[in-house]
Amino acid sequence: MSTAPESAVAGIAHGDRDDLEPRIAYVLERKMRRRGAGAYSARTDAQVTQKLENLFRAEGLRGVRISDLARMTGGASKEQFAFTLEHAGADSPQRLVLRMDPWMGIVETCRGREAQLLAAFAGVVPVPPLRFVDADGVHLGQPGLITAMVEGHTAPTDVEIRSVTGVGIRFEHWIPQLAPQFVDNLARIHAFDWRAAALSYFDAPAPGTPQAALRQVNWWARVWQQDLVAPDPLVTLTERWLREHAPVCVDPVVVHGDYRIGNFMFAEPSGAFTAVLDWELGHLGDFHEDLAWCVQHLFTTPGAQGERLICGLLPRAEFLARYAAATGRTIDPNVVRYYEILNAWKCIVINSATACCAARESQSHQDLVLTWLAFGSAVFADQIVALLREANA
Amino acid sequence: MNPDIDLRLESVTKALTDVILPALPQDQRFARDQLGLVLGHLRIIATHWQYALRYELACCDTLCGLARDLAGLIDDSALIAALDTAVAQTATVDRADYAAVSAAQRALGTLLDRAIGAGHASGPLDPRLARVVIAYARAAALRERVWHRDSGLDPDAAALPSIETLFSSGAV
Repeated sequence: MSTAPESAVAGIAHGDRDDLEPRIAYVLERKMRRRGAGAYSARTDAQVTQKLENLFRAEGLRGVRISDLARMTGGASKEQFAFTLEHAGADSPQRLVLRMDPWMGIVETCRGREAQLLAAFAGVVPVPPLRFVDADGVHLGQPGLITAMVEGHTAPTDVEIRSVTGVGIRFEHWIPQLAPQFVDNLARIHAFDWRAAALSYFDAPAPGTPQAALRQVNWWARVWQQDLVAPDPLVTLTERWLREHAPVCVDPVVVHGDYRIGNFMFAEPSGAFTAVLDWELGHLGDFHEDLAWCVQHLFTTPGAQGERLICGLLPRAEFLARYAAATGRTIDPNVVRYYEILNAWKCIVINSATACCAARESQSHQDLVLTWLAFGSAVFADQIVALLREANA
Repeated sequence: MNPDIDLRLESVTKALTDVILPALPQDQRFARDQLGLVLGHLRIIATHWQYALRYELACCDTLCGLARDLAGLIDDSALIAALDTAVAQTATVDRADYAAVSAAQRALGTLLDRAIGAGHASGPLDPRLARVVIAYARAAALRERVWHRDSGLDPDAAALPSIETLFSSGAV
């Protein structure tokens, strides 16, 4: 692993906590401006219908009719609704999905960035087709985006499963069909030529510097500071370690940021991927970060012989080998470990700080899910301890 | 206490399961999901409430131990004095008062943050400090994993002892 001494990289200061992507800094500030505005309640069907009508009127649609509005479950950050849209300019009704921010979710992200990634990756990997976006909530009241409804399943319908936000899904006899696509789609995401894409909400880290890693540290350190419920010595220590050991990223790629079990859909019985979901944490950074996210212990499930399967699909070594073969990239195990530590630390920030803060402040429609997910922080803490001991050995 | 807390929790759970859940239409998935989570939280609370004070005391005591260890490793005399004071104040907290124990723990945690973050701008992390915090965090993570063992979020939950065993073994 190549780590650059601070003095060797002009303009990249390990201790500069304010170096965030401008749009990330903006949405985090926006979150703080909303705080204290009172309790948030789940939106009613009538409220959502009215907001949708506002948006479609602003988009110039005439003769709008919204029907069959239904709240979708799952997820811990956005309010999601399926609905049918008819209007004068469309030949037939369209079944669409609205994904809208509550005042606070388990992560504060940008619908504009998510929309740009969905548009950019159409035809590259399967994604929900983007239809409308209201990045700053001008018409919807809160930021939101609308996509076409995608058919498919995040978990097999013929395997009995109990899961929270995808954790614990088992694929069993579907593995031979799903595993190659899981690796191939990740390889396609990382091969994408982002410099030629319309990604105005993104700001790339400087290649050949540790800025890719340090910006992630700064992002989640800022969130910890904003949403802190109870101090945690391990979180503070880990932040210091991450700053001191930030690896150089030679060639930034699009990092999905939440590429894992529960965030892809497939058709039955073909097993063909129909969508890679949840691009809200996407950013430009180091490909190792996505690999390290996939291999997180929480996202593993036991295989037939009791071995742990990465995202329920492949043993770790096989997953990494297949990725390397598909991309031609050289995987640095020390950089993977760095990002495993960063990702586990980030998950503690999300679960112990943001989730509990959102519930305590009554800022979400999903307080029960948020407080449940906070139970998982100790698993991440345990991982950090093991990885830091290994790294410091 | 009669009716006791366990009986009341059982009664709430029964009403939600036998009366409220069947009355919710199948197409009201959000409401049904929320009710499932309510029942899950109640199930865990039924175990937690009996050990909550002991758990909080264990957290507080180990945090005091970390504060004492760190005070011997840092150079900032004002911070050392603040840590010593906080540890001394924690020793005087009413150990039967859950809220007071939690508050003492948070106050100590804030000081520990300063101690662990101290010197970050001027020098590298002291490996002795890292070792002490990691040793503390290792024990804390195990205790917390046991505490949340029944949440379904720990891939290795089957290998963990129960909360009853954790406390009866004297491991905390």
